[in-house]
Amino acid sequence: MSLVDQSRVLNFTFDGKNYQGFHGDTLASALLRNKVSLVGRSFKYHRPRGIMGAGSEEPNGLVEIHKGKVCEPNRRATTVKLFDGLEAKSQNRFPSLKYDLLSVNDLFSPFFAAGFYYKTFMWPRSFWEKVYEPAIRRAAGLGRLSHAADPDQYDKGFLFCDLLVIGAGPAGLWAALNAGRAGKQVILADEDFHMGGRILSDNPEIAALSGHEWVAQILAELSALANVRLMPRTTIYGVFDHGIYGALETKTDEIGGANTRQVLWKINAERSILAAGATERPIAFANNDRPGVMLASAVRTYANRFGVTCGSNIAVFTNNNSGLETNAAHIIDTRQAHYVSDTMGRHRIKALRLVSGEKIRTDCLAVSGGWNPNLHLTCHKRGRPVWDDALACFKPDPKNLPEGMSVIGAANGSFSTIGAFRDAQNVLMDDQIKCEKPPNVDHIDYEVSAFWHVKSKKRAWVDFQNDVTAKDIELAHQEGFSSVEHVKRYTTLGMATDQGRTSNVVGLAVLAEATGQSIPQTGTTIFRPPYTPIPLGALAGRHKGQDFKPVRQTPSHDFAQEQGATFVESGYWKRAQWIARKGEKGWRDSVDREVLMTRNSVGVCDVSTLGKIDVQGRDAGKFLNKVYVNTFSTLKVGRCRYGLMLREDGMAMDDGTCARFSDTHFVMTTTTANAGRVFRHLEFCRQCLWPEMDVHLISTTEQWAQYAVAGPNSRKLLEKIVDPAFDISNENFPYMGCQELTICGGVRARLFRLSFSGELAYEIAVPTRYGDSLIRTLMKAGEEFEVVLYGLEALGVMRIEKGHPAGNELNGQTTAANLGLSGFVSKKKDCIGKVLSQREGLAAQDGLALVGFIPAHSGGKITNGAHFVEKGAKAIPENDLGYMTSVAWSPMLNSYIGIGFLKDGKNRLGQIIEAKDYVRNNHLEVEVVSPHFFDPEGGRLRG
Amino acid sequence: MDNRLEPTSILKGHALESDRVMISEITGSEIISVAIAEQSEKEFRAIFKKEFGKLPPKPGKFVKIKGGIALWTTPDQIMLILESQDIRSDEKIAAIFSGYAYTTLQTDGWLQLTVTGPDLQNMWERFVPIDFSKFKPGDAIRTQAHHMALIVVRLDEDIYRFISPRSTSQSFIRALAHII
Repeated sequence: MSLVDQSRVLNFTFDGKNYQGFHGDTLASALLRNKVSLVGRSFKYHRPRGIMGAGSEEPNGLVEIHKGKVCEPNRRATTVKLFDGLEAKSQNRFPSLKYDLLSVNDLFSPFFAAGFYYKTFMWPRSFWEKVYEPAIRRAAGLGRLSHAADPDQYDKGFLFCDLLVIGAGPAGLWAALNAGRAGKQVILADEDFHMGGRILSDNPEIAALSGHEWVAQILAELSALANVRLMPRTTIYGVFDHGIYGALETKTDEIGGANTRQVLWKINAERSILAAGATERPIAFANNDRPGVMLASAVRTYANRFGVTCGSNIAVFTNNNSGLETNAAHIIDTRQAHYVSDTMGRHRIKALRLVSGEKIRTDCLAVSGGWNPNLHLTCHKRGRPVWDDALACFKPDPKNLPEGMSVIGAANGSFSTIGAFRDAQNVLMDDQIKCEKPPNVDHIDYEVSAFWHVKSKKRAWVDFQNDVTAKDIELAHQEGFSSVEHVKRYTTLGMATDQGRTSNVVGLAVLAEATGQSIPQTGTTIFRPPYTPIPLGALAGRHKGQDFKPVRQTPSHDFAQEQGATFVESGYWKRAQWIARKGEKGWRDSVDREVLMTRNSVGVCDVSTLGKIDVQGRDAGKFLNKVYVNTFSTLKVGRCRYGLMLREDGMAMDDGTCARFSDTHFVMTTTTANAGRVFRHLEFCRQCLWPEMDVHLISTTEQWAQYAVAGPNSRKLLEKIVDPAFDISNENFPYMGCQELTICGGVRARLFRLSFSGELAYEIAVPTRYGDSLIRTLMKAGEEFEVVLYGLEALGVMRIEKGHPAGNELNGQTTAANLGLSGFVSKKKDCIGKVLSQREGLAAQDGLALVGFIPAHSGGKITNGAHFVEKGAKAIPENDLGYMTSVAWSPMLNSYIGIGFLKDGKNRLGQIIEAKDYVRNNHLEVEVVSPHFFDPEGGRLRG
Repeated sequence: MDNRLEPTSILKGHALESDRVMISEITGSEIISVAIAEQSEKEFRAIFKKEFGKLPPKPGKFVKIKGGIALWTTPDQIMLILESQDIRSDEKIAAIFSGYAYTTLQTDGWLQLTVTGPDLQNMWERFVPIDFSKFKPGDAIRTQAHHMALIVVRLDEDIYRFISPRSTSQSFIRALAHII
């Protein structure tokens, strides 16, 4: 009795033709049920191919799943759970599966042997990228993406357990059941949608029940245990450090059919038991790839689990006794010196020929070349399997497993059901977990006589997915590629989506024969994650579209939005870039207006995104001395100071100001971009370099809403909101002053007299709960001065006009000397980066220096990123004099202006050089000028 | 001209609700970060006990104190969450510890949510990397959810407090709404 529900009919299509299957079918079983034997074309030769396996090992049955315009290629028909309305199509054929024009490749197969591309497409060299590669890529590959947006939702999650059991065959079920009964937190994961493993396929009698009944009974008990989590359709795809396992859970195969289609889990497990079973391997013989030639185990799976007979006249070709369990009319057993030499048929096998010459009519050839333990996960931490001569397979090396992992059952080479139960029992007992005596089951020892390849002049397939034949492997050896790793890459054996599930060991055996070595002497490749392909959608999870990354909003976000601001991303922050007004034709109009209104009266800009760090403690001043190039311990309370911070290698790391509010309390500001990096750096210094210091750090970036108020009328505006008890006149609150005060009738605030724009300017901060209210109040109070809200662009223009370095200049490649800040570096104290900043190459007198540039001829437009060369010199690296970092149109100067780094720049003021921008193809002559374009004496900011 | 400033709550009174869970914003409390001065542990603990009626929390824990809760955040630092509004509470706490600790007002940097509902552990498995089977009432942890910082406090069997940065609160709420 099968496990499909024939009362629940499901309609589906394959290549546009309607079919019916049942609930519990896979697409493969439903196709076989409908006598569809041709399901695909092979990768290289476009040979007709049919279903070969019944699980994730399937190399042939790769299909596309469609819904509307969306297409998902390369899905294994054997792992797609049938659903009503499924639309599947074959792939890698033109114009149809039955009549594929590219099957002409098969006629030219003698030319397409291993290394064909490398040997053929050599001349001319200019064709490599422009002709050969595009042509080969068009002809090769499996499946095609639809380029339509994926309509599905994916998610990620985190699970924790005492024991992760990987695989729900007899070994896994028995281990999970007994660990669950013992009270352990257990996760049982299996890639199939129906748990039970090979019991479902072979249906052996267990404890006087049919295998199917026994599985149902065990699953019912497991489901009732609150401490056991059953996860069908969940593939453990990777083993990582610290007991972390990657898992992909598929909720449905239907495109756009569920809230969440797949979930990528990170499972933290104290212990794991690998019970992933084994995969049957084929035998290489001539034309062994015809539709109808299948793995014997798959033939039994379709018969017992799905109630589908794969042929009416089945033959078995085997080298072991498990193959003999297949219900067949003809037995060809290598142990009796019987071998299949060839097969006949076009789109399906019709007959086979034995080495003896005898021809046998058959419509299904079930092949069993023995079993390979599914040991892939044991290799993810560089474990290397060991060869077992008696079983003729690689087994996991128990001395070299991922930490906390045990392997049981067929994955451990115990190929009988009773062996699987006993393995489970032994492992649990080693862990002091009480385990019930295994149930009674007929015991049949697995016997195999290694046999791999029936030699022939014809092609015998080893790797069905990559069209690699035994001849290809022999040819690779003849051409000097005898290392298993080289053979893999030269022939593509064991690559691509199936990772050699059915082909690796047969390929190794053929190579071993060619080299005259044993298989263990030949060696093996090992496996890396993922065990099965992981869709990119699942890796992205929910992080796409609006949820691609978190968005940080400034305190004035709502107000700026109401004013029609255009926002720009600045890290995770969204900042107002400019705020357009009616009648303005482009962003430049808005930015020019914002600059002019600020410089002529007053402007307000949200600068809350600047990093703010509370530095407190008795040693706070000493600490800042060590992280900044200049001295802070002498800074007076109520004063601010500009500071420059270096990396350990002497390069500029960040700059900003530091305000002192008490003997033990400083407030540091950082650039927006470096806020997190600087905080980490300071914590490292505090905790690891100078743990003896009394210093504490707290990020207060989000605590304070901070606005720059800049322009000649800024003081007048602030005087309207600062409470009368506080005097902010120039005499009592001069440039670089700071104080804690109250505004608007008692609201706590901080005021800094700082200027990034070069204007008389302040930064006012309030607890963020008042941020929205303060921006509205400032704008209202400023109406009499025609106050303007300005954005990041205007801020940038004004700082370039003043020649202030920012992110483009603090680019990780510049020093204090380059930035013209050598004078800030204290000679009286040491600081991080000081020694290495004095390296000869960095301290050279003719090194790069920050200077300004204007077009040499009116109307010229300079661009950042341009490189400088002498007039008339060729634009080659040897002639490079430096580069332009920041450029703006200055509405104050009515010209483009720029700042950048120029070799010996300070001594070249007034000279004309060329700025070459090959990205925008913009080349022009520029004059070297001072970087301080506007108010170089600083009269305005001190006014 | 009336220049009075009004405080703004982050969610402006909105709450998230489903069959299983109720999520609402906490306003009217203050968060103060307290850092213990170097070599002042003994004095700090004594003052803390006297002032708040309990010893400071151990790593991974919170304690209910007079006027609120205190949770451990990092070595030598704890976070006080006081259930009454006083924007100068950091200064008052600093005065209490008189040089044995440094304080910083943190209220405005964080979104605080109360999350209430029975058997919520499974809900969080697609949200935060915490083993909720071992995260019991009395536990507090700093973690992350969808690349956003998060402090989770399990106040009671069915009551949690989530504390996440203010600037990303809209993204945080979107992420929460997805799972409830």
